[in-house]
This record gives sequence, C-alpha cells and structure tokens, in this order.
Amino acid sequence: MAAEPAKNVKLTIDGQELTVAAGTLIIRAAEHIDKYVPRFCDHPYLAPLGACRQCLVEVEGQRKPLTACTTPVAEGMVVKTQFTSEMASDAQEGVLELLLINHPLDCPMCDKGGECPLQDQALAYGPGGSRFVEPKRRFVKPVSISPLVYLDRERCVLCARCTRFANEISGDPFIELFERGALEQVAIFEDEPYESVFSGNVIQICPVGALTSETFRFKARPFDMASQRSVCNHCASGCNTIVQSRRDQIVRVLAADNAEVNEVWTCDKGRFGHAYVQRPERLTEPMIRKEGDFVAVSWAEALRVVVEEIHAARRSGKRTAVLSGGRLADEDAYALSRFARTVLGTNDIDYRMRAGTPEEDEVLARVTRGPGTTYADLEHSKAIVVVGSDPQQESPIVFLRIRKAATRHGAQVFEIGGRATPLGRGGHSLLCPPGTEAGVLLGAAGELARRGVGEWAPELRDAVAGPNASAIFEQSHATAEQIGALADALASAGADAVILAGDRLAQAPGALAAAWNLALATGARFAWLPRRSGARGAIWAGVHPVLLPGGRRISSEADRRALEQVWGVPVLAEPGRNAREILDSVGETGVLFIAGVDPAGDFGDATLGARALDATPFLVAQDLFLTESSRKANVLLPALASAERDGVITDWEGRAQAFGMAVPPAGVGRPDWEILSLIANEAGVAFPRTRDELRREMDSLLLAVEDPTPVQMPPLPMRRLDEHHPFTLLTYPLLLDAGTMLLGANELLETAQQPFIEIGRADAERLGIATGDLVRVASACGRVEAPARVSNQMADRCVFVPATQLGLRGLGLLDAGEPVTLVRVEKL
Amino acid sequence: MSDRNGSKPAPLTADFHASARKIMGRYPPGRERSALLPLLYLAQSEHGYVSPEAMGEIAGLLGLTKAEVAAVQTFYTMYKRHPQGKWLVSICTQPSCTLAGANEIKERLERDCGISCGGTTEDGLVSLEEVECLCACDGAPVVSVNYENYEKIDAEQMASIVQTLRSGGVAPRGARGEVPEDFASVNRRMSGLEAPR
Amino acid sequence: MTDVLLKTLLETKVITARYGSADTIDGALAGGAYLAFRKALGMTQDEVIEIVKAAGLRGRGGAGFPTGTKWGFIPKDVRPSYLVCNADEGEPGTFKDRELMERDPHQLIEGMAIGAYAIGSNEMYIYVRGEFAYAARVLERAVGEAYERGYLGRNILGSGFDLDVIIQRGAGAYICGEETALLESLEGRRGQPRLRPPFPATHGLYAKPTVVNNVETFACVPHIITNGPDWFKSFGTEKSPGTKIFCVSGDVVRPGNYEVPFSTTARDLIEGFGGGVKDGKKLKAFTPGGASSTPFFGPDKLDVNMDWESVMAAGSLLGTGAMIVFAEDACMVRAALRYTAFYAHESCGKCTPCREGTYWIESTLRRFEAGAGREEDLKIMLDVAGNIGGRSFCALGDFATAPVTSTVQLWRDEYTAHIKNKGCPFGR
Repeated sequence: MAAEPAKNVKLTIDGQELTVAAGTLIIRAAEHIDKYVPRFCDHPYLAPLGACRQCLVEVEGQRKPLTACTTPVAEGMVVKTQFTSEMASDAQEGVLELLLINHPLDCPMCDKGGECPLQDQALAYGPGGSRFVEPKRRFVKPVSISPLVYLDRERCVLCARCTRFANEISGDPFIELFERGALEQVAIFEDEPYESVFSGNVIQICPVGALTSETFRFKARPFDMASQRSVCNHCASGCNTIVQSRRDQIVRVLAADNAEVNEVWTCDKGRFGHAYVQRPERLTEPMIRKEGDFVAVSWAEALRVVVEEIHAARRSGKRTAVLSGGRLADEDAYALSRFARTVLGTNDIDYRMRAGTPEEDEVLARVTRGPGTTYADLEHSKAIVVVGSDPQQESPIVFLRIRKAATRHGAQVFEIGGRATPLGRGGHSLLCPPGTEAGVLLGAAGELARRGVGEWAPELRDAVAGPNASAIFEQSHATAEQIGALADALASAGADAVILAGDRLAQAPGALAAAWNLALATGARFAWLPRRSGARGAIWAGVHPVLLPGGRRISSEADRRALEQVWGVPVLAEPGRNAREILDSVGETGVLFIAGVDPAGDFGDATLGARALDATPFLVAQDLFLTESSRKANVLLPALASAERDGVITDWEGRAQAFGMAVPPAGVGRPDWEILSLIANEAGVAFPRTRDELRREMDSLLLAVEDPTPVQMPPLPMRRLDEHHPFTLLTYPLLLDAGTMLLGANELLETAQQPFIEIGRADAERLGIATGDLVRVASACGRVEAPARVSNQMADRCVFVPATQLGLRGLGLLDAGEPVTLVRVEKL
Repeated sequence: MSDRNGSKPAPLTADFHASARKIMGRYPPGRERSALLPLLYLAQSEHGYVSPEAMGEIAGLLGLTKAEVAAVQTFYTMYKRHPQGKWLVSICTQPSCTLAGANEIKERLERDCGISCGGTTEDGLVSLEEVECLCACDGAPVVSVNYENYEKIDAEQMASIVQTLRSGGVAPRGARGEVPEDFASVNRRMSGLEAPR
Repeated sequence: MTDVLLKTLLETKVITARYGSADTIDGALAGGAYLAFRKALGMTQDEVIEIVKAAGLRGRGGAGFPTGTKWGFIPKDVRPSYLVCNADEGEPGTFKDRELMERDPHQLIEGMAIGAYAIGSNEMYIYVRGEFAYAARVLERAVGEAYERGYLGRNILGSGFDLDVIIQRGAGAYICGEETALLESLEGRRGQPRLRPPFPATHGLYAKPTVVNNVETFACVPHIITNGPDWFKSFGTEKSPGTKIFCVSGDVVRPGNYEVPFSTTARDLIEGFGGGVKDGKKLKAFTPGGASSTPFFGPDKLDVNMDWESVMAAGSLLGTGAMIVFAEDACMVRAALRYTAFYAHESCGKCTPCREGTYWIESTLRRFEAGAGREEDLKIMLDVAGNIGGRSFCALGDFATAPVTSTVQLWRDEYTAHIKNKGCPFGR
C-alpha cells in the first residue's frame, strides 16, 4: 500500500530549527530535539486531551500559552518552551503548584517514588515550596479496584490516562471519572471491579502513585532493581518487556516500548505471570527414576542413561519420537528438530497438541516461507477478517491492534466463529457452528468470484464451487447479507486487508485452506495467529513431521539434501508421525522425548495422553516443573525459563526478537538447546556446541522464497448429526487458565473468569436454562459441569466450554478422532 | 446505596423498560446513548433517587458499563443518590438571592425541619438543599419546591409552606401560578416521556 | 423613570413584544408568529444566512459571536446537520431566556426553525435547564401546538422541508451552558468541554456539523427576517446592533428584564429602569454582564454604554447582560466568596487550574469570612487567579478568577477590614 508522502513542516523551537511531518504535535516535535516539555495527560499512544495544562508553551503571535500536546506544528511557527520563555515556565510552575496543593505527601511510602513524573517534573519545573494552608481533599485510600490494582484517589492528578486507556485502547471502561470539580475521581461501579485482561497497563501509564500494583506493593524502589529487556513468551504476541529483579528475585515485569510490536502495552498475563520462574517447585537438577522414585543425579549420569536408551532403541529397530509444546525459543526449537533428525534419526516430531492434517501442513509450509504480516499491516488495513481465533483471550496485543485499526482508522472487522468476542462490538460477528468456518469463507469467495473481484485461478474456482461447499455453507447459517457485507469489505479493501486465521482453525476442515486461498485471490494478507509463543519458531525449525527447517519439505529431495549438507547426516525421506499418531502408537516407540509439553494434561481427549505416556517404554522429559506428563518420565532434565537465559523468540508476525537473562537459575538447569547439544555430544553426533554456532547454522538455512500457490481443499465432510449429542462443542483456552506458567500468580488468578458454560439464548430457552443454572455438557469422551451463561451471540446449537479453566476442563471433552466434537447439554 | 431503612428499592416496573425504549427511540439510530440523561430521570421517578439497580438496568439497555452510567449520574446534581422526600425544597443562595435574605430562609427551614441542607425529614416528606442560581433573580429570594418557584418570599412564608407540606396539605400556587407536583411525577416529566413526538 | 426612558422602554419591544398575549399559539399567531418562517421558506438557504449576517446579529449567550457567520460555517455537503438551542441559562443574575421561553415560546421555535432551514438541518434540539420545570412545560405545550398546526413535522407549509425538535433536559450542571459541554451532555456523557479544533460547525453533535445558539439569539431571528437587516441595525450601535434584554437584579427597587437598544447606559438600566438602589442606599458595585467573565464595576462606570465594545473598553465584558447591583452595605468579600463557590461547585474538574485553583481560592475566602484571613492571602489569591486565567481548558476558569481579582483590586480595604475585624464587618 503506497502511503502519501507526508508533508514536512519547518518550525523553530527554543531557537532551534527543525523539520517534522505535518500534523506532528508540538510536544512530539520538541522530543525530536531532546526538549522535554513536562506533561501528565499527554501520552503518545492516547488521543490528545489537553486537560492537565502542564505542557503550556509560548507560541509567537498567541497572547495565551498553548498546550503543546494538542497543538499541531505549523509552517514557520516559533515555539518557546520553559527553557526560553518566562510565559511558559511561569505557566508550568503555576500548574505544578496547583497539582501539589491537594497531593498528599506520600513519597516515602508511595511505590511510584523514584520513577514518578510528578516528582521529577515538580523538581525540575515546580515551585520550591508550598504556600497552601487550607485543608487538603481527603479520600479513603487505597481502594482495591481489582485483585491486581490499588487506587489512591488522593494522589490522582486526574490526567485521565487510565480512563482513556480503558475506553479508547482496551474497550472495557470499567473505570471512569465520577463526580465533578474538586471531587472528581477515578472510580469503579461498586459491584463491577476493573476486570480487564489489560488492567495492568493503567498502573504503568499512571504518572503518579494513584494506580499501583497489588503484587508489587512495597517490594522495591526503582533504583534498587536490575532491569533486563526481554520478550514475553506467554503467547505469540511478542510483547517487549522489561524484567526487573532485586537481589536476583524477579519483582516486576513492565511493558517495554516498541512502536512496531506492542506499542507500550502488555496484557495482565505477561505482566503478572512471572511467579512461576522462581517457584520452589522448579526442577533444578537432573533426575532418574530408580525403583519407582526420582533420584537426583549428575548431568553426566543422566546424559549417559539417555544416550544408552537411544542407542538401544535404534539397535532394536524401535522408533523414537519427539513431542514439544510450541513454547520453546527459536534456538531450542531448531535444536530439537536437528536432534530428532540427526541424533534420533526420526521425523516423528511435532509441536502440536492435537491431530494435524495435510491441509494444515500445506498452509504452515507457506506461512513459514512468506514475509510475515505485521502489526503495522493490521493497523493500516481497511478490512480485517478474524477466523478461528479470539484474540482478546489468545493474543491480546493483536486484539488491541485490531481495535486500533477499527476505532482510529475506520477498518471494518469481521469475525467468524461459534461465539462473538469483543471484536464483534462495532464489527461484524458471523456466527457459525465450529467446523463450518470453511463454508463462510467459501461463501465469501464465491460471492467475490461471481462479482469478478480478485484473481481466481482454476484450482481456486474449483475449491469454491466444489462438492459439499454449498452444503457446508448452508450448515454455517451465514446469511446472504453477512456474506455480502464481507465481500463488499474485501472487495473495496483489496490488498489493504488481512485474513487472520488462528492456529486452532486447523480443526475445521477446509477452513485454513479456504482462508489462505481467499487471501491469495483477493490480494489480502494472510496472517497465521498461533496461541503459543514458540509456534512460529517451531514451524520454521521444522518441529513437524512433514517440514524441515526454513519451510523445506521432507518430501523434497533437494530440501533433504540441503539439510544433509549442513548437518552432515542423512535425513529420513519418509514423513514422520504427527502428535496424534505418536501417542496412538507408543507401542512402536522405544524412546519418547517430550520438551516443554504436557500431553497427559494438554492433549484433547481426556485420557489419550496419559495412557500413551504410561505405555511408553522410555520417556525423557525436559521441563521446568513436574507435570502430569513429566512425572511419568524415566529421566527428567531441568530446563530454564526465558528469564534465566538468553535467546531469541519469533512472534506471530515472523519477527525474531532477542531476550536476555534477567535472573540466574536456581539450580543446574540448562536451556533446552544446550541439553540437546549435550546429549548429542554424549551420543557422538556432531552438534553445535554454542548458541552462536547454532544461530549461525540457523541463519544459513534461511529461505526467503515465498510460496504463493493455492492450497488444495481437502474433502469437506458433511456435518455429523447425532440426536443424542445435538450440540457442537467450541472449546479453547481463556487467557487466565490453569496453565503451569500461572503458578504462583495468585492475585492474577483471582481475576480469572469463574467456570462457565456459554449457550445461546434460543437454545437456553428451549432447554429451560437461565444464566447461573448448573448444566452438564457431555461428549463421547467426557463430561463437565458448570454454571450456564446465556448469550445473545452464539451460533445455533453451539456451546462454548473453556478448555483449561481451574475446575472446568473443556479439553477433556474433545473427541480427538473427529474434527468436530458433538455434545449434549442438560440442566442439572 | 439503599433507602434510609437500608433495604433495597423495589424492582423497576415493566413500564420502565417500555418507557425506556420509547425514549431511546427518539434519537437517531446508533445514538441511543443520548437517552442516558432522560433515563436517569425515569429511574429517579420510580425510586425517588437513582438506585444502583436502576443504573445496572440502564447500562444493559444502552450497552454501557455500569461505571459509564454512574460516571454520568454523579456528574449532575439533579440525580440524587438517596431517596428524596416527596417534596424537594431548593433554596438558591447566589448573590441576588443572598442579598434578598436567602440565608435567613435557609436557617429557618433547617431549624424547623431539624435537618441540614442535603438531608430529608424523618417523615420522608421534605428534603432540603442549597442550589445555584435558579435564574429568576428578579423574584429574589427564590425557593423552589420540586422545581416550582416561590419568589419574593420571606422566611416566615416559606416556613409556612413547608409546614403545610409536612402536614399533608396542598402547597399554595407558586410564582407561575402552578401547584408543585410530587417528586416522582416531576422526574417522569423530565425524562421527556410525555413530550410531544 | 424619566419620560424619555419610559418611551424607550415602550418603543423597544421587539422580542418581548408579545409578552402577555402569546400564551397560546393563537395568541402568538395573532401577533405575527410564523410569518417570518413562511417567508424564509420561500427564500434560498444562502439568502436567509445573508440577511442574518447583514443584520449583524451577535450571539446573546455571552460570547457575542456573529450569528450569520456561525451559520455560514456549516458545510452544506455533510449530512445530517443539527441545530441546537442552548437554553441552559445558569449564570447567576441572568433570567432572560427563561422568561422568553415561558412567555413567548413560539418565537423561539420560529427562530430555530428559520435557522434549521438556513443550515439545512431537519433535527433541532432544545437543551433546557433541568430546573426550569415550568418553562419546559410551556415549551412542550408550544411544540405540540406547532406540530398540530403544521409548523413542525413533515413538508412544512407545503415547502417540502421536514423539521423535528427534541427537548432535552439538563440535570444541574452550569458548565453545560458551554457549547461543547452541552453537546457532550446531549450525547449522554459527562458535560466536559471538548478540545477545539475541530469546532462544532464541522464536528458538533454526533461529530456532525452543528449550530449552537442562545435562546435570545434565536428570538431575534424572525424579526430580522420580517423587517430586514437595516431595521435591525437602526437600534443600538454600529458594532452592536439590535436590542438586548438586560437582567437587573440585586439591591434595586425594580428588578426585572428590560429590553433596550444597545445604545443604553448602565445608569439608565440601574437607576432609570431599575429604580436605583433600594432603601435609599448608595451603589457600591454592579456587574455589567453577569457572573461570567466580568469583574465588578464601581459607581464610576455607571455611564458606560452597555454594548460589547464599550464595556470591553471599560475593562469588563458584556456577557449575558446580567446586572447584579450591590448596595453600600453589601460585603464584597462575601460576594466574591459566593461567586467563587459557585464556580468551584460548577467546575467540571477536567483541567488542573480551574479544578484546583477554585478550590484554593474558595477555601481562602471562607477563611476570610470566618475571620482567619491573612495579609499574604491576598497576593496568594491573585497569584492563583493568575495561574488559572488564560491557562484553563475553557472560559469557566477565566471567569472564575474575575470576582476575586476585581474585588481585591477595587475593595482591598474590605479584605483588610476582615483581617483586622477577624470577621465580616458587613454581615450581608
């Protein structure tokens, strides 16, 4: 998309000439030349307000000072800040004096002290003392507005950054300004706490100590902390963070400013979910199971035992396999993929915790080769279609960017799925039963093809018109109106559109292919949004039964040769078993490696994972904790959390970002890649010894050749009907769930949603269910019970059960053999 | 927040929802938030104040959070947070009225009713408040009863009117020749429900 | 009152002419109501705007901005557009709009209708002060009559022009008299003023082009259409043409609304029409234009002509034309406290200077009245006022400083007396 060249404006600030883009605010322009005009309500990512009046500057020709944060530059403008203008410095001092009259003298006990813009600016530009002798305004303080956030109204300077954030950016205004005049205050409604997955951001942007963190309270002064730039790995958003520690204990995580990625936001999970790193339950030394119990051993012994088993398995013709969870850093993923092929001699490796399909493999191969779709692309799109993802829960910062595109730039947003999410507010929710998403996409494709919009190669046309396509479309219940609106938006947006597919869309037959092909035909960008932080790195690395590093394919001889040249070892020509197949056929497996994954806990289908691991002859687990799976291991190898080591991790855009060690590990754990390198070394197989070597090898395998070919549509199965199980199950994990990485984040977990089962209004009425009634949902594989939540925005005969909440495991209902799980619902 | 006895207000009547939708329908499509101020009056007409329950209902009707509704409710002084008496007596104490003796009226009424401005009498009949300019300064001092003005009135006369109200009598006609309506009816009118169109 | 003055009063009944006979639509019609509207419907929109421009009509809500120019800012190609009447009269000492609505509602409706036609708007809003129960009832009744008789609704008088009106009530916030705060309130939000630019003319109600005008301003419009711009300019001065209702109240014999041409002096209004200070007392102070924006004047300014330019030259602002009169025994410190408390209570809270500054000044003045004032407080209050004026988000902040700055300037001795006396030496 070609942008109009920005017009440039020349102006003078404090006698210095500079040129900036037209539309730039004076306050930003001044920052270009390192002139900092004091401010409170101004924030580069919030719309200008002009309320605090702190940034008053003198502009030649104006008789009153103007607020620098609301005034755009003009050609030839002459601006004088507090550095060269008495009008400005007087005005600023006056505002600071006024702000301080009701501000409590809390500095000694205020968490903000030492990193407080009010302190800093009062010292630099404020009056030297106070002449206010009247009674100060008093409030009860602090008030807990959520388990994570404390509010101190006495300290508040009413800059409204927090309420504007909640309203403009995250779209959940549970905090607002109440009252007026001197009584004006930030407040919540008494029975509606500030429940937002973004609530921690207001703590960070508050320029005083009015909003503080309940978990960080009184823990450390800013000058007492060591800071390490890092990248969050709770999801694939790629938020840049700053991990702060005191005496080698992590005390706080802040969002770091990266305009291209997370701006200056992060979600509560990334901000508050760090306690797991230094929990006492962390595995700190290698362990071997001897006579039924785990015994701590040295690395030497552990490596020896592992290698012995590998050699034994290979000698006896047993297979070996590797499972990973998609949370590994890039180096770890690559090492794992290399390890599988060169040390284990297998292609039985998978990062997914569900069944894969050839369709998914084809899309992933193309995703990993293409230039990524970026946050900027999202922000500047005119149309965004989200299918198979609930970004607010699964990739929160992507959600924020989509919201920004819609609210600031007028983008049209469409979501396709079983339930409406907050994206639907102000956007379009095309509700369709899970499994029929392909129908909606094909419907839109068909409409566009009919209008002659886009490039429809024969295979694409066939896919759109293929057998069952119209039947699936009907089953999706999408209306002509909805399809029309979607087609309209895509037609007018052209290349300025993004089709965003969540990785769980792979479970809906034909949907990923349809999404990819639609993007191809219309020129829209395709974006693949995985839930787990290491997924993008994993597919690049080839932690996959069909793919090799760099998007290469096992089926291609040339590709295998390329790897063999680098690795010096032949690569098996047969594609490997996928995760489902590996678990189904453990009888054939001699040694199973699991790295950062918990199949017993996380594989869909309640018992498949556990049964498989129990039946595995030899299980080696690399992990941070004892999990349902790792406790079944024969050898436990302690890995390190990202805060305990250096590394690189790739976000959903395909952007690789480095993170650094913030705290030393508690024991003798190693990064995953290093563990694998040590095993390889013990096994006598050549393997990179250092991270640098590993990176050099990875870089040499980069393949920047796009593959813009269509993906063949798989056969589309008709939606199964089952009179005993008339509902389709939609299940995916919510942001704050029972995940291991939330261990110890108690206040954060208090803000997690209580277990609930969501059902549409018409269905609820038919079954006599009201919100709050206890209901049971049962599939062929399991059953769960929880209070019902009746929704106006659910697809027909669809029920949503959160996958991994504490006390409610929708995952256990999944029928791993079928793309779509059918359930029955009954009121208890 | 609850009434003086600490009990919750009665649930909003079915009429409330029907009336609310009628009010919302006056505004252009997509602009129903403009109905927020009128709906707060409607709620006030049901309970004598704007209850948290009513704010929750209004939030649901308008697709707002309860905080957004409360933020508006607390900005404007005419939305009351505690049940008002049947008769809200508002005394203007701005310059013209003060020069004409408003303070004497205020002190007399507070004494007679045994409450300060901001409170309500024990019998639940009369609430007193001090207000800003009622813009009838040529009739200073001005005291209104449920927003019906009594002008050029003195402390004795006003005390007598309040006494009449407290004994269940009918107040005399005000400066515009009308008798004050009860608090519920006045608020219902302010919601615009009975306006033409 | 002299004969000359009485004659002026009787002859200058333009917008108050139908008081007493316009309680029903028939009475108003008999007095010429809706003839101007009919005439305007036969003109083009631009013609109507040109007439109002030529007449030099200035907004009567306080700012005095040329009305025709304001109407001319509305882009014709952006739809819909809105016309809003600011009937949120709330300034202490002002009571002209209320009377206009109570005694000649159809004049307002007609003036608005002409304006709506001129800017191409089919939707009018009247934002009425919440406390104006009687005026709102009268207005509602009149609107109903206008619909019935076909002056509102579909295809008015066969012209093809549709027009609807919604009466929206305020809820007790003076700041909603500020036009952008009014728009916020109309949209169902807290009444806090908006950032400008963009201006309401292009981004007003619902971010659409909007005209906001005062009740009295609209009331002038039908007469200008009927009689022409030259007739309107025959009253008043060159830069302040037409008539104005001045609200005289306080320590005067005959408080009331007086419609006079802009060529009238303060003395005429206070001593002539108002009958002078009551009880034979001497005049100590008066506000030339109401609480908003205007410092007090002393008796030396009685001969200032009450038009925008002259009042500004004399050091104040005409504002809404609300003249509150203070007799010799009125305490100016108490007056300053009354006004400042008003502003502090009505401050919306958005900006630091107004919110914190009025809190500070009010607290200090209370201390004075309670007898604990200090000499240094005078400088402090003036400094604080200096930190508010010109620095606040909207004009309310500027206006809030005026009472204390002008009373300290003109009646410093009263403050000193409070300090020496350890309390108020006046008592009223």
